[in-house]
Amino acid sequence: MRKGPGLSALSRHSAYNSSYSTLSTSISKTQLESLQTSLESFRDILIEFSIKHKKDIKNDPAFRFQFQKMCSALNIDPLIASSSSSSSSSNSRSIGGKDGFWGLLGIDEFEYELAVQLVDISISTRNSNGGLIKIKDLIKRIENLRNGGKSNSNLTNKISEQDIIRSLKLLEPLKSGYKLNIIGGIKYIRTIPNELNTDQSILLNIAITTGGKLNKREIKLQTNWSDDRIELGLNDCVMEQGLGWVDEQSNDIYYGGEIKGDVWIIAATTFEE
Amino acid sequence: MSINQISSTSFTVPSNQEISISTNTNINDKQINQNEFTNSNSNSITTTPLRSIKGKNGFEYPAIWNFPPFFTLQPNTSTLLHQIEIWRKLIIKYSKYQRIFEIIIDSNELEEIFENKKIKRKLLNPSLKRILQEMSKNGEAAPDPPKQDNRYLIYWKKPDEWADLIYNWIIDNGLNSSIMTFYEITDGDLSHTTEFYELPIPILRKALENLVKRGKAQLLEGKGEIGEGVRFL
Repeated sequence: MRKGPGLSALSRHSAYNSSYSTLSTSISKTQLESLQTSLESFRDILIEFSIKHKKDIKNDPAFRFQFQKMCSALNIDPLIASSSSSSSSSNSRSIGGKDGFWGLLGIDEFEYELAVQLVDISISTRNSNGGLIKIKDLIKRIENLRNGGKSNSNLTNKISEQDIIRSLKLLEPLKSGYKLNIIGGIKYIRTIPNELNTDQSILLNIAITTGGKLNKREIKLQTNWSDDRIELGLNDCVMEQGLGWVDEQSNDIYYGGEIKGDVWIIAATTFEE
Repeated sequence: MSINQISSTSFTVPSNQEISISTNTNINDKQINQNEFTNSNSNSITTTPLRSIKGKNGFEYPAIWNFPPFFTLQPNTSTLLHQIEIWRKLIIKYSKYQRIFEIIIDSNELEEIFENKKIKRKLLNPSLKRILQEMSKNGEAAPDPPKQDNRYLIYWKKPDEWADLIYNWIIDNGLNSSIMTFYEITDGDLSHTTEFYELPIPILRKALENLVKRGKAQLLEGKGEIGEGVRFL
């Protein structure tokens, strides 16, 4: 083909261009179509699979987590799906779409139930722990709740940390401050919007190493804080946050101060009933 | 009861198995307190989880009974309310288990529940008083005689519950319309197997007064040595 410099070359050029682009659209269209069909059929299979294994998904946290991971790789967000399915539950027939997919599984039910129980435990323990609870304790309490108050190791309704963390996301829009905190390598759930300041966090870190007990003398050894700073920190933990319980009989009344004795951070103390 | 008598240098969180608390016999003087200070590093803190334990009497104490601050009334109001609630329930459960009908605060014999010897913590009298006052507000206890705060009746069953129990027993034994003395009800041959066996008179009286109100009994004044009686209707 000769690249003529004439006027006709211009139109020829644009003709090439347009036919190329038509070709590309038609190719990508078919590709997209086939992709969509395969994706849809994959979803169908996924649904089939999830219905078949509904029980495992609900009862086995490890399995549930893997399943969730697979779904998020496919860009199916269980949270969006579950919340939208609840608002339009009447037309949740479009199974392939996002609507109703998780509803079909009863996953949203699972998560709402968990969120409600999480709030339930948080509120009922708040007066004793000041709104800070180990995620492990929380799980134990929820499992006890589900088991009618009896602690039983061979539960069918096991809950994992991931389940709790997902439930926290569900509670986010409520702005009630339910948040994951990691203190001293241990996962805690903060159940009130009140943020812990730096000194409080440091005190909590110390409490974790001692099984919950905060002794003024030991705090001083570890932090080199002034007495006033220690006093203020402990006072915050006890009076402001309600995280700490005072033990006036510790026989170790160091320098006096408003807090007489040791302070125990209840969330850092392990109880085994 | 003075705190000085409680002398522990290292605090060890108790567990079911082994409890080790090293003690100085006398901490009253400052010298020893000083020693305690220098020793503090060697005092290892064992962090076993707090567990529920069984007392000598077989009563099962909850894990929080091994939590040292449980024996100090808390300065934070919401923590305190929660703490008192736990104590209230615990005292009721314990009293029922031990069939305790009365608590005298300044008595010499302290019930096992109010002193955890393993962690060397004691519910001091003012604290116990406060808890019993709260229990009174909730109808779980009552000062007896009224208007003092040292002796309390403990209602692990409320007077109207005792009333039902006694009345049902009367009916079951065909004793209605007969006259009985107070003593016969609580200590008589027939009542040995009942829950109200040896029920103190003040509680019995409250239960019977409840039955009177409901028209199921009539109180009779005591004549001579016979003592007070009741006719069930």
